[in-house]
Amino acid sequence: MARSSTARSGAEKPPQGLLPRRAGERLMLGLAALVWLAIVLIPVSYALIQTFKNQQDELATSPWSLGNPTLENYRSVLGPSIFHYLLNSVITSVGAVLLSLLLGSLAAYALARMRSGVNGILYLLFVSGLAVPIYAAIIPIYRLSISLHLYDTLPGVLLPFAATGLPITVFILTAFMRAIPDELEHAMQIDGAGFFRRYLQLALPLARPALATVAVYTFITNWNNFVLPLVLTQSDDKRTLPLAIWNYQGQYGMNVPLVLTVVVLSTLPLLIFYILQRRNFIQGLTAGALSAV
Amino acid sequence: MSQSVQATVPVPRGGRTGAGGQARTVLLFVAPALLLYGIYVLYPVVVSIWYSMLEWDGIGAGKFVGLSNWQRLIHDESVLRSLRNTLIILAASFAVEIPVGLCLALLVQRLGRLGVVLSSIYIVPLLMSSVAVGITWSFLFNPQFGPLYYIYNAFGQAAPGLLGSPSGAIWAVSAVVLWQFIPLYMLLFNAGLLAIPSELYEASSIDGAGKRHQFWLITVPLLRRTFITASVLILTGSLVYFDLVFVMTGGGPGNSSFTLAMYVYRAAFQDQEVGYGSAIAVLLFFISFVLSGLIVRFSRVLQGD
Repeated sequence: MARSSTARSGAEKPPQGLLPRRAGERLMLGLAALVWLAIVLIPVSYALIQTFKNQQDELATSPWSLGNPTLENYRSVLGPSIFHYLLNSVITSVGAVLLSLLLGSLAAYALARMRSGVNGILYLLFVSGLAVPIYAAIIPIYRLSISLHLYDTLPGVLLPFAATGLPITVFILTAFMRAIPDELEHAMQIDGAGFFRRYLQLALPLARPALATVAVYTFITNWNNFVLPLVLTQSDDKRTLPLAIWNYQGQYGMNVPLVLTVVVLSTLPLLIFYILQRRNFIQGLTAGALSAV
Repeated sequence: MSQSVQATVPVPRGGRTGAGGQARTVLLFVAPALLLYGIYVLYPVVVSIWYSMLEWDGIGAGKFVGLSNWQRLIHDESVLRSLRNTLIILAASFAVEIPVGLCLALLVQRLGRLGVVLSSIYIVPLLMSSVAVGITWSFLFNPQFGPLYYIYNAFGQAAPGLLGSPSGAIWAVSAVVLWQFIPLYMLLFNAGLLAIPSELYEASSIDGAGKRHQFWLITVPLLRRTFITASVLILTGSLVYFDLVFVMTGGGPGNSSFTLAMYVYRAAFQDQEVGYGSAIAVLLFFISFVLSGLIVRFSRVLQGD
């Protein structure tokens, strides 16, 4: 408790000893900040600038001049199909997050709160999934998808998304649910609450911060996943956003402004998510990464 | 160990539910997750081992060929190339991502409110999908119409076709990997720095310690856990580069920018060699598993005291 409160007070204002006082030091810091700003922004602004040019201008003018700015690319990309890809991405990513949270929290609750001989082995089974690279499983997943008649369907993408999210879900939620005080559970038990009711009314509400963390992490992973939709779908109306970008490049490779417009538009959803939910976003990302150890 | 002992003794808690009843409840709760996980993760890993002993185009029936795929794999120059490329990405990541990530974290912390704004811009590459990053950079690297052309043209020279050169492609890809993932390490170190109590700095300032002293004696030792985490992420992450390679070079020219993940895809889905692709997949799994085991061991030792 004491540790976390000092950590928070550290977050409010930077430690005094770290503030730059001398002018020379301030100059150095400012310079470093600018260098990295340039490294990030040069490629990003290159992409942005091209989206406002037509193809002739893009070829004829320097990459850094706007030429005759036009919204033509946005008009041609913002048709029904890009919203369809967006919808596919939302359905598969969000659906997978909900499914893995539901199944993962049920499993985590039982593994954290029950005592039985099988707990240890089950927990180990789930957590060792953290060490399985998706590419090591992709061939059988493809064949399974065909034999289960899920090839080229959205559930066929959603299910492996959810399955590959389970190890980290079980890992983080089990740790969190182990920390629920026994007294609370005993009290509910005395009131006659069964195991499922305790899961629903005690464990789930208490685990909300952990659920949010896991949700953010698995969502970002699914959202940007490329190989599963690449291997598991083929028709245009099943494509998710990352696959759609790649496909635009294959189809209009020479039309740089058009392809970059798709790149820019496809980045917007996560950017908006980040702007609206900065704290949760960073928390989810770092906690997911931290649990790798 | 203590768990299994407890399980064999009937546990009074929970009334009539003894150990057996509890095991049944556990299985009931775990079963749905285990089913999904078993189908899409456990089964594929196991069956890949079987596939790896077949000669199979994925359409007809596979022919059992024993270990001949494995014999081929051991002598396969492309496998060696993939491992070498993985090492290149790994080394570049270690050498650049950790120090730069730490410096950026220190930087945005020192800049206070301005730092928050800056870090929100710095994080943009991390918000893009690898496919989006890869496509943007392959345009940037394009020697005929990309910005590189204009820069070189200004000096009257021809731009190098980095992505088309057998020796340059993997370095270009590595540079893009760094560009995309440095923000992640900035975030990690930022979280690590925030957990260091500011009293430590105040106390040592009173004792007359300089900034450099404080950095090496307080900041670095207290970030130990973050250093471990970052190393683990780099180790495990570098095994599975696919999206960027796939989009930027397709593994080429030839096999020069192959990674194991890319090779699995090439063999199984483009060359229709499902058996051989599976052998590479099993190798990938094996390396990842051994590496993770070592990491768990190693990090326990490091955090043990």
